[in-house]
Amino acid sequence: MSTIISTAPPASRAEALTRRAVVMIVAATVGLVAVIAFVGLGGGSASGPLTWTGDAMVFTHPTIPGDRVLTGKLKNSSTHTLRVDIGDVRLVSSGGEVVPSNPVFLQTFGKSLWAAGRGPQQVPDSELLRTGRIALLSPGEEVPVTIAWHDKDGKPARVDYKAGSLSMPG
Amino acid sequence: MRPTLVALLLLALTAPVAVAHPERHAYFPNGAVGSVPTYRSTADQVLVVCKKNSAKRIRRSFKGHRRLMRKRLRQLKRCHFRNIQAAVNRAHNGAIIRIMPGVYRERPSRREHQPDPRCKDDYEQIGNAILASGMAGTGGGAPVANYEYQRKCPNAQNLIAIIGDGPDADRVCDHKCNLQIQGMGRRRRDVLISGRRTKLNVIRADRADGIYLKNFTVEYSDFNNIYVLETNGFRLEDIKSRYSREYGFLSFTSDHGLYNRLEAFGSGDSGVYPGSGPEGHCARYGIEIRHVNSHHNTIGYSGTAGNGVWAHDNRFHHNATGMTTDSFASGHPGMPQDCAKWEHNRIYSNNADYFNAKRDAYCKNTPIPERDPKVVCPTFQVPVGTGLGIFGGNGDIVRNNWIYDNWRDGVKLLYVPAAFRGQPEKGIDTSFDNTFSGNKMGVRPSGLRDPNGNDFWWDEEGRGNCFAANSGPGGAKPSSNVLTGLPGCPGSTVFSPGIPTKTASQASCATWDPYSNPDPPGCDWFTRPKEPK
Repeated sequence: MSTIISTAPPASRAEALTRRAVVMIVAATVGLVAVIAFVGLGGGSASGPLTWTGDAMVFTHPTIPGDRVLTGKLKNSSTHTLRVDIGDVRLVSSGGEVVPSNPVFLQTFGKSLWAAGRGPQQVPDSELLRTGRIALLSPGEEVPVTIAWHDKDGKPARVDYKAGSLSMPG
Repeated sequence: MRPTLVALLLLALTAPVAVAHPERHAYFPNGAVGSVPTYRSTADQVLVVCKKNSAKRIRRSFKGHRRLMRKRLRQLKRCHFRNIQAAVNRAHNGAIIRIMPGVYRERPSRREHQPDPRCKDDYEQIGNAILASGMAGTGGGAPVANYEYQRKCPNAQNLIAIIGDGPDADRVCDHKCNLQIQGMGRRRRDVLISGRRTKLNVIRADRADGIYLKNFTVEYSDFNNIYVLETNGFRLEDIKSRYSREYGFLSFTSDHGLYNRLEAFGSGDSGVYPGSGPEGHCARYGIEIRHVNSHHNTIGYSGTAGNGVWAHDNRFHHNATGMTTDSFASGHPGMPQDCAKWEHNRIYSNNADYFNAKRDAYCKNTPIPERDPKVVCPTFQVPVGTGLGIFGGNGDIVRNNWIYDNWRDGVKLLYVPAAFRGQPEKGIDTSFDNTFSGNKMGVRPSGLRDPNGNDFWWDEEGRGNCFAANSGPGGAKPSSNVLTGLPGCPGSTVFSPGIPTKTASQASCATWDPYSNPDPPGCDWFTRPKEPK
């Protein structure tokens, strides 16, 4: 290993090739880490208590080419408990226009207890929490989020959530 | 411990049971005792129910069967009841109730109010508010009727109520136990029990151990046509269920059950629903489902916590989705779902287009009482064109079935995190050790090719899942969405976290609402796929 990281001239062509390969791998790794860090930081700018954490991503829906999906985890980086209602989560373009979207605090499918047309007048908070309609985060806690939108409806640049704003990942 | 986690743990402890619908707290009967009831031709108490025109109907139905006709007409002479509920009210343990041919609308039951002011204090709360601190609050829940409500006001929610437990704390049947209620027509259509959607349930068997229902047609409930709850020993046989707003046949926290020779169609949710099934953990299968024909429902078969169910030799076809089992609901006994065994079923042509724009508009704009009850309005969302779905299940066996002509996916395996049930401390606990073997994919029993859009869809989450000896037309390898190939059996012991683009591609479907969000962006479930060539 010491040979590989040495600054001395390579003793052979094989060593030179090895060093070059290692440099490329290290460079690629550094680049990848930088991308992940960029994603993890939400594109570098955020205001408010929430931050991206982990590998947030935007992808084209596998069977709906015109739909985009943002998925990742949000972390409460503040020192107080935070409640976010899904109705307050919006995608906003760089020009400040709202991009119609469909957010939910989930990363896979789930469903409500109540059938269509049978729910109570006021759905209990516990059900809203379970089904990803609200997020309740103590300091340091994370919550998954998925937001989908039609690409034709606009290019979102940030995610607003009333108490703050996040840059789009990626 | 974090306040939110504390709140969710409290929820897990206090949240009432639900079946992907609100229900009271419910508990499993003692699975160590009990059995499936067997048919009896005699009993100490035999009660006969009839209508004015029963004799005429008997003569018409049994034309050409003179001996049986004479026997029925003799039995008819012992009729003392015009309504089934009246006979149930008179029945002792072990009674046989014979229902002569006719249409039973149960008018006295219909006149009972819902909610019933006499039982205004007999409610429990589902869910609760959450305080700003993150702790669970004491209020903010939704009320549901408890067992006392059913015992004291049996016909408020139910056209026919068989309520077995007395006012004690044991949750075990005391009276109305081992009842056999059977239609006496030559065919199941000769006896029709019609709810007209004025009641949640047409027939409710609640802690009614040993209940045996046989040989009739039942229709038009607002919730369940037949509902078996906290019952040890039940048998549903030779019954046709049609046009329930939600479920045809539903059992919940019940054990030692048999669904046999049933037909179910026109349900807004599922034709048959063995939910919160026996906790045998694969050592025993406490509910058997056989010779069921479930079609033209939103789902042919579903079961949240559908544990310990052996479904075999059934047909699930022409629904939006054929079969599902899942781990979605909070506080549901038996979570996470495990140990369903599905064998020798035909699961085909599940492409019913109940989520198209025209149907969406009809269901959204027509108040429930004004709807044509024969039009299926989905009450839950499903991926149209899917044969079989396991949404958060463990130890399930899908073996030697015929799965074909489902235009999206033959089989869909998707995980559900425990947090979705209010149990975040359990992390990820589903999609473990499911086995798919020996299934014929995309080919009819005749050998004719009839492809699924894709044979196996898997989010690649879980551990121990395996696929072996499944075959397509001519023995070809089944298709799948797993680029590296489906794992053989036994499955890997290494946990796979799943593919985020697959799991997240399903998340938006959770926000479906037929009134406000019938086609959420990022969800492909509600557009019927084109028929694969």
